[in-house]
Amino acid sequence: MKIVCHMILSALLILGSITLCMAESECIGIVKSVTRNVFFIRDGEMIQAAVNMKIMARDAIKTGPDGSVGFILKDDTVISMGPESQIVIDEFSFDPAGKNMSFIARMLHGTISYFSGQIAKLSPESVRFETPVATIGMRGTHFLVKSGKI
Amino acid sequence: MGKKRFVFILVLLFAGFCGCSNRSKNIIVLVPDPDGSTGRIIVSNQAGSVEIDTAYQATSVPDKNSIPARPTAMNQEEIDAIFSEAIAIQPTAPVHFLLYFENVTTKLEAGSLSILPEIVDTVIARNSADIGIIGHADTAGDRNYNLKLSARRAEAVGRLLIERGIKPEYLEISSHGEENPLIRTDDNVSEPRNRRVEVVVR
Repeated sequence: MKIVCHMILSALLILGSITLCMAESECIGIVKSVTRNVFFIRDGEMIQAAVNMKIMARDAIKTGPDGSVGFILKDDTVISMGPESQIVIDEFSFDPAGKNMSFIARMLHGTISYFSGQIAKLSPESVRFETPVATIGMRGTHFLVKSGKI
Repeated sequence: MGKKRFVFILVLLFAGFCGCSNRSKNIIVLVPDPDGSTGRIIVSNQAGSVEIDTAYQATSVPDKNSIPARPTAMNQEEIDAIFSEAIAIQPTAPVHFLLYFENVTTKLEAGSLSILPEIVDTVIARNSADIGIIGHADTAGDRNYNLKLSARRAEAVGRLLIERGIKPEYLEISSHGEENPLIRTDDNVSEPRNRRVEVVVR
């Protein structure tokens, strides 16, 4: 019984640390705005997105047919996604003191607005936005991408 | 009647003209930053690349084996037709505040102390649950000492914000040392504007 209690407790602790993002190094940003159905896919699980939810590296973010979402990453990158869109954050590290910076995001389909942040200023060669047909490199900027069907 | 048909044909021609099937499939358009300036993007794949440095210029890419098209102008109406939902939900850019300290202390300058209420107001207005506090140093003196001093200054600012009602769990305190200067200098340069704590309200 005691062991089970411990297991439940540690499971809760792990869950708590994920939602509250106490493991700061893994937390890379925050959801600021959500309309209707938007999901995060994290470690194979679907999580309904909500305002102030923390974002982790390697999250996939997916909007439904009438969903949209906006979020801000630690380096000031601002990304928003229209309906039926999906992106994956493959890499994000923003640690100028350790000279460790990279941001690679991959869009599968949909529409997005992308404001680049400080990584694009400090280390432009470390930032890449990939789409199925081309890769976008940037020098401090704002752009829009549509990718996929229709 | 005749007029309507004419319009219809025009639309068809227009659709044909922009190579509908290809152009509308994958589009990348450069738009201005909020401050009015425009950056630069390079769109590339295995077939080649194209650079865009003018606002409202767009390229289309039929597939990964085709070179991105020569950029052409895209007007606001065309942009809205495709991107209105993504643009409508776009969060406003995070707000940055800079705080300065009395020399070699963790005591805020009077002018910086008076900015604290403004930071608290911004946190409330943005409903922010993500506030970064980042210590920065100039390049004068020992790199390690600077890193530690700027970290202590960031912690001091964290305490001041908690005293003013900001939830501790919303704060993320870190130090960039001398690696992320506001004003670029050579090494070993005393630059007061680089000895700062930055508060980012997301």
